[in-house]
Amino acid sequence: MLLHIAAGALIALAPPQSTDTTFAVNPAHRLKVANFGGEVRIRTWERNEVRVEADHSRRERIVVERTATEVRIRPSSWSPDFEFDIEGDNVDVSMRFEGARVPAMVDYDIIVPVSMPIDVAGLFMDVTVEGPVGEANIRVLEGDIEVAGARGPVSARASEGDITIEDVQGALRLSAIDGEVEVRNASGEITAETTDGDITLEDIRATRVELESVDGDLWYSGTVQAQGFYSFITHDGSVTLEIPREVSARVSVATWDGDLTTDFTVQVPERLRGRRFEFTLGAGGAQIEIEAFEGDIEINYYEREE
Amino acid sequence: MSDQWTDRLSAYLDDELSATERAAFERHLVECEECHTTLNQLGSVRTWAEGYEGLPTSEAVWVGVREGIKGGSADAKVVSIQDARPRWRRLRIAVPLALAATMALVVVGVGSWWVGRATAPRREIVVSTMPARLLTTSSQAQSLLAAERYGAAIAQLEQVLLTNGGQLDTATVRILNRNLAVIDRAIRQAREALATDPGSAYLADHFTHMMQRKLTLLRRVASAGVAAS
Repeated sequence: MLLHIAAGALIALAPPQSTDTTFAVNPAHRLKVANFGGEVRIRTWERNEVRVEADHSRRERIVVERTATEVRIRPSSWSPDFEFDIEGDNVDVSMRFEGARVPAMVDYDIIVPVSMPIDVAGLFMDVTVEGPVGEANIRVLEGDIEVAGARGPVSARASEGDITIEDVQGALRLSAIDGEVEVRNASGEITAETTDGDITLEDIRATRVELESVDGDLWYSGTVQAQGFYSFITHDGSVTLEIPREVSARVSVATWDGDLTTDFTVQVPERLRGRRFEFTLGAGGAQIEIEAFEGDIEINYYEREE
Repeated sequence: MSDQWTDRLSAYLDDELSATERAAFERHLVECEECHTTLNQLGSVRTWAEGYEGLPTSEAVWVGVREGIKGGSADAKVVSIQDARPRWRRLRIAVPLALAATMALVVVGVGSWWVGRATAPRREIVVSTMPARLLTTSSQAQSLLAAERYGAAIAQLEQVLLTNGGQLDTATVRILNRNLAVIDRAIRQAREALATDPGSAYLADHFTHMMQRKLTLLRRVASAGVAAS
């Protein structure tokens, strides 16, 4: 889909090796940052302004495009535009490329108003977000993603790189094809997946958690809410849950070549191979589903007895 | 299909009937077209599941790219991100609906078979402190149908990547190859387990799940590769 610039100004800044500019924004507008390679760091402040500091080559310029609802920041050499969609019975691929020279590496340090929604997309870069931004959508091909303190929902996707999220309140949708996912102190609904990487959730208070990996361990430590849903699926990895001893949940576990061990009083069959084993803890309010094809399953107390 | 032979279909396929039972069942098959048809359909599904291979297709897609990376083939081409130039492309490919329709017919038979299996205590070990999940049409038969559709979609997407793969940069190819290998291994292991224990709802679901994972990965990396080009 082509970008449609509804209205706005184009600010082309071309200092020798760095850019530093500040401009007023509506904090409800969305900030979109595109980059080919380098780093993107985003922080917040109590002003309705965006400050952009960027280090780059002499040949590069930083372009700020403003529309009725968005502020877009990118290197002048980099403006990817593509759409890839599989819907129903059709596969559609549409793409356009701009820029005839090698995209430059740019390191951004951007400050945005509190609660401003942000989108960050690039190929070879690390992304760090610190502070109470609004909704955050981050996508990189290679590089790490770190988000701390976001207030809105966070969507983070790295093809190769680790994703670390902490102190967040909104829903999380996290995907690392080849990398690890770590979440600490989160209270929104969480969906996380990897192909080859561990997923670790610590100090979680969520009503819905879905973790899935092909070749990675899954580790969850947190509460289990009444009527909540918790799903943990891996092929070649273990699943470890640390949940309150007073938990109330219906639990289903399945494995092909692993064992189940638990602190809870459950009569575990000698052999689970290929079968779902179901049991109830407490009154059975929440639903917990665990599948580890080739790994062990552990369900332990959140606070273990010495 | 609800006659006395309903729950013998799986045992027959698994070669678990006594010689006397087997002979009686085969006499019944001659007379009962419904059982005969269902048995053939079940055999087709099993054959497909046992024969599914993800790796060969992927190898076909990427062999040229790999050769390009190694510089061993003049025809193979790996386009660097830096070579990107303004241009448009558009592809539209229809997933064969006939295949899905065919599988829908199979599912009718499979569903009956699985329901029949669910009533056969010799296969499903109930170990729970509450009723175990029973095998139903919606669990296993639909899983296999979904797996078939995923297989078709995977093949289509791999064809898209084969057509467009030259535009992927080496980083994308490297990530895709490594992770496809991980998923293909998982699919192979799940398939082997399912062949060992075809009555397992969990294994049927897991096999389908791994197929879905591969499709998702192909979609995602294709998207990233397109962006990189």
